[in-house]
Amino acid sequence: MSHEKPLLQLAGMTKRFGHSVDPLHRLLNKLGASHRDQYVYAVNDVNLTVSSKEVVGLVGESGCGKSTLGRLAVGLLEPDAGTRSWRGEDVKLMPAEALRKTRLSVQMIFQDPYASLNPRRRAVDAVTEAPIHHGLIAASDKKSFAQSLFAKVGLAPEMMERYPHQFSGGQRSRLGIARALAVNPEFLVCDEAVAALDVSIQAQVLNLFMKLRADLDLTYLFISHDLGVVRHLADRVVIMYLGRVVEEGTGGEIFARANHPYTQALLAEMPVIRLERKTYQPVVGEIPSPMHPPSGCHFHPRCPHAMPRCTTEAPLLREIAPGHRSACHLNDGS
Amino acid sequence: MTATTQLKVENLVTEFVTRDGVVRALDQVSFELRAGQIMGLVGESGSGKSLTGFSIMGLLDAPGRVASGRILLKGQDLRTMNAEQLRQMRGNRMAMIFQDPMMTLNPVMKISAQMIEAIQAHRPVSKQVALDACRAALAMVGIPSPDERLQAYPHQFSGGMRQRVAIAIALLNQPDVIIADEPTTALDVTIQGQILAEVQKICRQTGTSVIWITHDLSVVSGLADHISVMYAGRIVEQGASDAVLANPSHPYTRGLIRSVPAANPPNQPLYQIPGMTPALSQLPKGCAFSPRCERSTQACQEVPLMTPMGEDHIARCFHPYREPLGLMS
Repeated sequence: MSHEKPLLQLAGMTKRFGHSVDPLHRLLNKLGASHRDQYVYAVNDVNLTVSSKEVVGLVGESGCGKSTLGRLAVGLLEPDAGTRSWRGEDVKLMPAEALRKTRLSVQMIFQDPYASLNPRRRAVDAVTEAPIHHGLIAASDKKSFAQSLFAKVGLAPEMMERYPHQFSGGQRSRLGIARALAVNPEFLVCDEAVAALDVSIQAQVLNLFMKLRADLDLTYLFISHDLGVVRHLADRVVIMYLGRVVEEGTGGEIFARANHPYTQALLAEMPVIRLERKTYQPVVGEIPSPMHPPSGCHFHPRCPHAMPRCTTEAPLLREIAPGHRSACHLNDGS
Repeated sequence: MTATTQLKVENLVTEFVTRDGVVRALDQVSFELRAGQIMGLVGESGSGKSLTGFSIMGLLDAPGRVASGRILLKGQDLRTMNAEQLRQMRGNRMAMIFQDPMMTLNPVMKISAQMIEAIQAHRPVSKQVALDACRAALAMVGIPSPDERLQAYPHQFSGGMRQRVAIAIALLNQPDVIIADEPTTALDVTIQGQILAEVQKICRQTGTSVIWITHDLSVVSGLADHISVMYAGRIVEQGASDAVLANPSHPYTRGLIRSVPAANPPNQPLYQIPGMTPALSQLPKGCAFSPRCERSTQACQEVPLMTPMGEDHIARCFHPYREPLGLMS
């Protein structure tokens, strides 16, 4: 098992958004103006390895780059630096046919399935369009194919002829999942796939994710801001803050022995049902703008343990226990 | 421990007149709120929790209307008031905070202008006095350098800061009751923690009562003194937070608590409530939860009455659970 190549590997991934100085402003610069390139580093030199049949939870607050990393993992975005490898092979070097197969193997499930469904197409067409296009099924088989897909995700077969607006929120989620499963993927990237659902419906959809994993040997990258959901599903947890990974480890490690002060703060604020009134002692400060992230360790302005070194030098992600890595200068002492 | 009753809602019924007939969106909603108390109003989408807030505030739009019941704010029945009297109450004796702070804030007015307006609408004070009150309110919700921030426009604030401003505006006239409708749902956990901390502090200091409307039981469990759980327009369980969370009597409450991922061992299937929330226009007969309930019997064809389950704890169920849930450590 240990010799097996990881299913998906992202190495040194960087994605920035923005623009460089345009010719006019370059000209103005020559005349003494000081226009500079403006970039947001949404994902900054991130390494992520996902093994086959593993569930990796990717956690962070808004603007930390978790969705961008998810899109890079699927290949919806081209990185500005870094390589993406599928089963040890760099996708950039793949021949066209292999690349097409790889693309089909990685599918994405979005938070709002409504946004990814054409409101004027019936459910049966929405889920069979991709497999017909790719020649996985014949157009004449679409009814029976959709029927088996619907059964997999727990939708009644008579719903096939309906339009997206005739589905409830939970059913629409299932439809989004069915659509992703239609091309027999091995790897699913779920971006906040249950965030918009009510608790009782969320439980049903999470159970479906777990059942599908067992039935179809799926691998997940599960992106969520909800630590409770991630704790429940994930084998391994990756925590991001402002474009960088600050900590990663097995679910058990992270929830029992969180190392990075940011992870500790997240865990302390994680809402759990409790019996005694809580006196909130939240972390101070706001999430800084990714346009102008703090120098050194991005978390230092909010960190209770910040030292002078944290303001100048970005800590590296280093192993602190087997399989548990954290990016914090505090680990260098002793 | 006999704090005064600020708000008493009795048998509130809200209806919508539609083409397909009258839809009863709130049915016999009753609760009482004492000074400084925080009540969590919990339910899923469409359960009527926001509608309860709107009905109390008198913000219902046609075709919605409060059909019957009493809403007593410090003993005065809001339902007998005319529009002008209600306007005098809103923003003054009672205030509402919305999920999206931009529903409260005007994007083209400075924060100072909006806050002064809220004070001068109810009190004949000079601009200077009003400004002092604004500064105090902003400081109370933890906004650094209030003087500077008063001169800013809403778009210059982050989401969390905007919500703080909305809370500060609600606090300006020291209202008796604040209705907070999912105010932290759109915020990140660390920012949510900060806002919960401020709200908790303010209630203790000022004696303002809060109705905290949310879909998230775990948020109110750390914050609220009392919890009311709503399902399909009715309150199905109500009581002191500890009682409701430790001994959830209604099968729906119990199901809600058990389906939270954190309440289940990792990687095991989550407890799930079968089926889905019914449409209000096609509510099942009797107890609206009965088609999804594993304990339902013939008796559930009638609407159950609120029954005492223990001290300060009532539930609307014929077959309530009596034993503790035993999930919490």
